[in-house]
Amino acid sequence: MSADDEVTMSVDQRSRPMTRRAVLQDAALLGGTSLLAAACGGNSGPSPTNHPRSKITVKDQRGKTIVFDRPVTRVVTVPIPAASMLISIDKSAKHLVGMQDASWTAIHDGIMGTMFPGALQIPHNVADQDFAPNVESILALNPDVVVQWGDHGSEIITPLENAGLDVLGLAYGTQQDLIAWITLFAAILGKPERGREMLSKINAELRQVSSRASSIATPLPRILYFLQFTGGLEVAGKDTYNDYYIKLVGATNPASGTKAVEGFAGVDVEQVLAWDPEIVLLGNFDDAKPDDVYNNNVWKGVSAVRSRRVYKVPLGGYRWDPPGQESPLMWRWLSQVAFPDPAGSDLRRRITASYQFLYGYTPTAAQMDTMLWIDINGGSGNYHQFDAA
Amino acid sequence: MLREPEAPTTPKPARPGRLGGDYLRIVTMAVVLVGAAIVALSVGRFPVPFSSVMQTLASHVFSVKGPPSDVEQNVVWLVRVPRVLLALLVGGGLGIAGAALQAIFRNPLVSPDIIGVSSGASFGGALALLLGLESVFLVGGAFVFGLAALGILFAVTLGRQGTPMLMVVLGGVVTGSFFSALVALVTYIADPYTTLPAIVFWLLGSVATATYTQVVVAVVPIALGAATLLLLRWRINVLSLGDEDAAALGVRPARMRWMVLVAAALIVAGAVAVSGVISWVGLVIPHLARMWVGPDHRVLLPVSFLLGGAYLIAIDTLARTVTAGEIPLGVLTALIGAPAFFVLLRRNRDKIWDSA
Amino acid sequence: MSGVGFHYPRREWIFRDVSFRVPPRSVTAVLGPNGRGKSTLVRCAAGLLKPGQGTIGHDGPVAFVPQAHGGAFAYRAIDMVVMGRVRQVHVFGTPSRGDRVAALDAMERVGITHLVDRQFPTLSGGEQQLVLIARAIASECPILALDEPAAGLDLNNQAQVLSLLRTLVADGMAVLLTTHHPDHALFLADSVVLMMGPDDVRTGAAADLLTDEALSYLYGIEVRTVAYQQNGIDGRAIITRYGNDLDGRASVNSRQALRGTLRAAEGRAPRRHRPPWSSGQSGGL
Repeated sequence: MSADDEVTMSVDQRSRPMTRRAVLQDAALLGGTSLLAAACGGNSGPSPTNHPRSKITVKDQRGKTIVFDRPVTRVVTVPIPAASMLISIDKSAKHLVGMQDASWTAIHDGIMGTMFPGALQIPHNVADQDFAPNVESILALNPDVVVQWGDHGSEIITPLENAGLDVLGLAYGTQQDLIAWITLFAAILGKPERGREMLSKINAELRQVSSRASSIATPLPRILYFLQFTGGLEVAGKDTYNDYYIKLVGATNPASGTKAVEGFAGVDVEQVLAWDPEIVLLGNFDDAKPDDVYNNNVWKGVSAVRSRRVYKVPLGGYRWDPPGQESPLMWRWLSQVAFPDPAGSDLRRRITASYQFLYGYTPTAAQMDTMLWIDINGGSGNYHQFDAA
Repeated sequence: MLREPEAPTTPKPARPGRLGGDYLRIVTMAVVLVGAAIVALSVGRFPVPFSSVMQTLASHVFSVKGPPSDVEQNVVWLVRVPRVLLALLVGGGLGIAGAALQAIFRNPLVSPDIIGVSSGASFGGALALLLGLESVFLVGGAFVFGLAALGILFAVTLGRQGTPMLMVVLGGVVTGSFFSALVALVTYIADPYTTLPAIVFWLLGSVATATYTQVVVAVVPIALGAATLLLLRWRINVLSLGDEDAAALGVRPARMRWMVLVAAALIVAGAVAVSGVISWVGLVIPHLARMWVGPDHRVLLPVSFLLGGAYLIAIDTLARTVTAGEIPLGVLTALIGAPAFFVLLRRNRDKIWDSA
Repeated sequence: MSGVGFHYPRREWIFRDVSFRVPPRSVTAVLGPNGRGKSTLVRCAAGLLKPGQGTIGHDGPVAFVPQAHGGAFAYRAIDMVVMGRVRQVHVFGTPSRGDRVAALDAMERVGITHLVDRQFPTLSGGEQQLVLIARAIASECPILALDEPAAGLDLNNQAQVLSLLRTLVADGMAVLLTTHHPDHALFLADSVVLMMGPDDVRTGAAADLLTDEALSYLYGIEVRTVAYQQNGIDGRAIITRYGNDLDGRASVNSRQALRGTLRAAEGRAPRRHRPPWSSGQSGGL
């Protein structure tokens, strides 16, 4: 086992109970060459890297084995984050031929549309908002594979399979899922080496953020993430990705402590006052801004408000809140928000490097300002560390 | 004193009105309500000593000096008081509206949902959330479309002299289904990651986001509607005899019914606007009240309001204290309301409306 | 009531061109077989239905007594009676002490003070009917319209209701009622309305119209009246030919024949009968 495994697993033990499946996944997906074994469904057959013309065999997150004669060139994605992740792994939008409408909106409204203008021309009518596929629209796109949720029930998959389409069923929400997505996408695109490179960068970042966390001596600050704020409070409790990275950077999540809630849960403001978070993160799933918190009388006794440590989570190629190709940047951002480096932040430099690697694009300073919500987060504590030089 | 009928053979003396006992029941219910409110103000996830609760109330209501700490004061005054007031208004409003509607439809199975106003208001609110509009538009949308549902109901039943009750019921069902379909459409269109959770949360019903602004928004239509119903309380008795009886006694039933409908619609639209759809209160509360005080709406309407308010305050207190997470109010009212209703129905089925 | 007709939307006329007056201190009984429109006529007269033709004038509000039916809600008898006072109570008001006293007086008058606290739906049909009559009395209307006040009552209750109505008339009320009992009409009515058919509604003094022939024709069964004396007052009672099915059916089936004989006997079809008391009196319908 490599060092990567140890880091991930130690983090994982804090974030969620270690299941046998999770251990196997970690071992299989993270450990150097064993990555291929997973991508190839554990077959001892020839590796697709060595024999590009041979068949690609993958096992999706439903446990179903799918065999492709050659790397896929026409992909339809239904899960919302899948479109931008596929583009980042492919470093191109040309193999994505159809996506869910909300994916398209996210690309259109964010920097993705600027980096990959071609993505905006891709049809985005393949499924309705419940992820139920429009089978005929999808058939018209003649895809090699349809990427679909594997854990939202069979009624959104069966019609596709009945129509003779190959369906890659995915699960979402954890670091393991993130790794699995990268692995699977890289495998079907016939670019396993790109997947390995991406994972090794993720693991390197994981190691660094984790070791930064263990080097900090201050008491662990309480960080609370709000999925919803404006129309009723909803926080990230146990078994959420937000809980995972809050702990990864060396902080604690009061919503998964002694008075824990499961997953994303509605809470009332009194519970938040009782938790008394020292840092509040506002998600990108509603329009809440730090000022909404600062200006609310009820909140004025909360530690995070008194020390003005309320931040809106950045929004890059995709939202930084859930797992995605830019998650390492989220970890770095949160680590520096929680424990500012006296020497100043290197986040902008890291964003440039990451974007170069992920998208082959160098964002301007203004684009990074937008990404980091410099305008609305600027009034919060220690946020000037992220200002452009 | 009242003149007793001079009938020596009369087995028991007639007690016209018997209102003394009824007033006692209203007062008892009011005391229960105040008790529930005080308990609700004293418990919560943020521990506040009872003395601080009382001091906070005293300092705000009677300008008494020496308030407790800022946070404790904020919790009581800015979080709990508006929440309790909102629960009181919504629960009371739904209770009295349900009682009045059951009377004019002469059917104890009627709830405020039947006239389609809740569906209309749900659609208005969901539409506002879909368009990314908050607070004022949410409330305004719910209100406007709640009243629009009533307007459609008017239009559907218009032109027929007397407006038979069946037409009103059918019109309400049609309007309700139409707006329910629109709500479904809104949830279908809504972005599953951003707007849909907010819409679902709101539709489930909650007073968790209560503010004084919401209290003001709710108090206007609910107080107006409830006051109208209370003023009409005895006319509602007459109306509950049926159109023909009411007409024979000199009441114009169609006009009276519309007055009651408009009042009930005001209440429901106001309640939905601030708290989403909270089911069962408007159905169960009038029943409970009727079992206790009988069908006379002079007593039943005020008791339904007070009982509804106390009930929703109690349920909301459960919703915000049982677990660390917030339980949607609409879910709890149904979870508690349905089985309680079942037990009471079985136990008191003769007393509820009619032994015949 | 002059030239009144009624029909439900898109249906045939139920009756047409009916004219009569109900003066104070008098009883008018409406007689006719089932489904001939007796109740409809009385509802028109009471202002509950709008006639399709003709005009109806009242010299005061009409108190209508429907047939007893269990209500949706179990009000106490006194509360039911107090509701008769709705005309005297402001729309936003509740009954005053005076209203309750009036209700109690009405109940006393009907002789049901013992029912004051009973729930209306738990009362017997007769008791319910008496409560509804008390409610009408409590309304203090000069005109009383009753739909089958004796329906479903036993003999004792029937007698009670009839004598009550007599007392009310003696006190100055105008009473219009429907009944299935020609007996009651003979006992009570000053004038009668016989609903022979949609275009054949005869009105006139009871003594003139309630002949054996007319009743036989009206009900399509052989009916005879016998004279009797009770407490020195002359009365007539009805004898219907029940019994032998064959004969009964025969008499129904021979309506046409019967009609022929009747016409011959009377020598005229008494349509648009103008009652002798049709003018000059105040009050009434």
